[in-house]
Amino acid sequence: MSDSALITLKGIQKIFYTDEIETRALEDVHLEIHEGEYVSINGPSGCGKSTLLSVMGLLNSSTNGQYLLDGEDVASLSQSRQAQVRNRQIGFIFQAFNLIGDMNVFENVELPLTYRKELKRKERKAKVQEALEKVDMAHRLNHFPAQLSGGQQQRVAIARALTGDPKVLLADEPTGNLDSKNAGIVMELLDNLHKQGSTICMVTHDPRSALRADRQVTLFDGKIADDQPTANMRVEGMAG
Amino acid sequence: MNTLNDLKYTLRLLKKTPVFSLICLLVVTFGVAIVLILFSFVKNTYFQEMPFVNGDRFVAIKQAQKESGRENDALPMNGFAFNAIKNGTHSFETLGAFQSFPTIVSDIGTSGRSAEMYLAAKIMPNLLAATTVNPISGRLLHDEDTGIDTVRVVLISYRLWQNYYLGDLDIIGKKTRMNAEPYIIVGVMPEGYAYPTNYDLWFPLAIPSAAAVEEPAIYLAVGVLSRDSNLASATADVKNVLAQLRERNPTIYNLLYGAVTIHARHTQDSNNGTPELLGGMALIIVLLVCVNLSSLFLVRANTRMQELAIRNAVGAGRWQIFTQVLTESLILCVIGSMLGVLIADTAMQLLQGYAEGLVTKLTQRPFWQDLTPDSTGITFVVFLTLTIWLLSGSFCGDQGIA
Repeated sequence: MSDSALITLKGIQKIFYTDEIETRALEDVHLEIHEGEYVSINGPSGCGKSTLLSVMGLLNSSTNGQYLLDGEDVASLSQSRQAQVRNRQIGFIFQAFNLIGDMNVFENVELPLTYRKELKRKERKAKVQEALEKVDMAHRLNHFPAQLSGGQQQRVAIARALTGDPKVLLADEPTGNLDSKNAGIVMELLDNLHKQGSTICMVTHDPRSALRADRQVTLFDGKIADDQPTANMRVEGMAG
Repeated sequence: MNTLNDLKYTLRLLKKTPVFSLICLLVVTFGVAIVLILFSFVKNTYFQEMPFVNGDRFVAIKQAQKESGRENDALPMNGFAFNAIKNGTHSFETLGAFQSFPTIVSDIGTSGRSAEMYLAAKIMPNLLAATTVNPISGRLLHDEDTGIDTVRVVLISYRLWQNYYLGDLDIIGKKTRMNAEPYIIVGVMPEGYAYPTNYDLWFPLAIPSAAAVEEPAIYLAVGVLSRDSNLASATADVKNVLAQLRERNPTIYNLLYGAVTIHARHTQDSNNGTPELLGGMALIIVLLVCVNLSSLFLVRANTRMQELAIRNAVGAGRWQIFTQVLTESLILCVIGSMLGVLIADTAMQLLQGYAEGLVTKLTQRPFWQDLTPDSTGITFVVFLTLTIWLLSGSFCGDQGIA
């Protein structure tokens, strides 16, 4: 793990306005995630976990505050630059897999690479193959999402997140739509990626999944209520 | 962005939703076909160059009742005005006048056929010479043919020669009867020649230099622009002469102004706003096609929201999403337009055949009118396709980005 923070959030605030009603989803969030860390963001439903992840993934902009990704103030970038950052530095894993139904496995995994002009088809093919081998789905290249089980779809989605060699993987309830067996396989996969050096930030409300992370950040009413290494929690748990 | 991937994916989407694809194609195909038919008709009827050497310089001179010189106010002119324009302008290489009237051809003895009516032009011989088209047999009309004491002569069309005189090879020099008067046929013009509009007979016309100011207005003036003039300068030239006429003869010429137009616009239906009406209809159809397609593409963009959101999440920029969405509309517009051209071409040929069946000897279409879409029509379709694509596609592209 590096000393310099890969992700730095300073005083992040996110307010949604609907029909003149103001909803404060995030309030004064300060958070640092270092390279190689495996962080779990926990909390009850509606506490702002997914909103925080979408701000970190540049899918949503914060109302106030500063967001540094690898030292760069990415929140102030133009939309097209932010798209480039999403494409090159961030890998997303969604609860609902979010594969494109009309694309086969290869095309889904290749999708982020098609937005990089410098990559030739041959290079893209090699990267896709490598990513699918990591999730053990290389034998299903020509299958469409509807032909795969939920666990297989999520593994393809992880391959899509990995294929661009991102600096951080953002996972939003990655096992939320899976049965326990497939959930176990997916969590094992994330563990392995972490061991290989990937930085992972995962939103979950499943305590068993959260325990796999190095560090646990607990959100409550849009604020960070707790932030400590998982090892401490285990000790506390045992002490309790 | 990978164009090949976009294309492949889009074709897959279109194949997956055949009803949507078919409806879009039908809208584009029939929209393009109808607009192309209207465009070809208007362009090939009212804006066509004459099929002669320097055909773009063949013009018609109109008298108009308003300062604006609007052609739908065009009026024939009398000999006095024609002479004034001929002598007072410098914009024309050739300038002449003609007068049209139905003529009964009754040469029962020669052809063995009953009397038939054809449309004839009494025309100044210099106009026929200006077309640089020679008769296939005999000679053109000459100025000498217009003398009072000379033998009355007539030039006939290929069609008349074939239909009425049964292609008689010894036709030149033969006597015939036109409107119960004896005439000698001096020439047969080539097939398709019907200058200035749709004539089968040409009689020589001379306008005396001493034409009276109060003569009835019965002539249409046509000519060929000189090399160093254009429609605007020629119009100014003609207006100047008519202004002098108004000044000298306010009771007769008080309301008359002038305009010079391309030759194809001297016909009667060109003067009643037909081209503008058809052009307006074409514009409305283009707008309807765009509105219909926009609605269809907007619905489509809404059904693709999740896909577009995923693309956005994995790094597609606004432009890349915009072009992805536009690819679909481009494919539909291009295929629809190509089918539209095929349908328009077939329909025009059918319509042309149908129209030819309807015409009588007195209501022939202008000789330069060919309704088949040409290279200008194809260029127009390319422009039309781009317009429809950009107008309708950009809405759903915007929706996709939103």
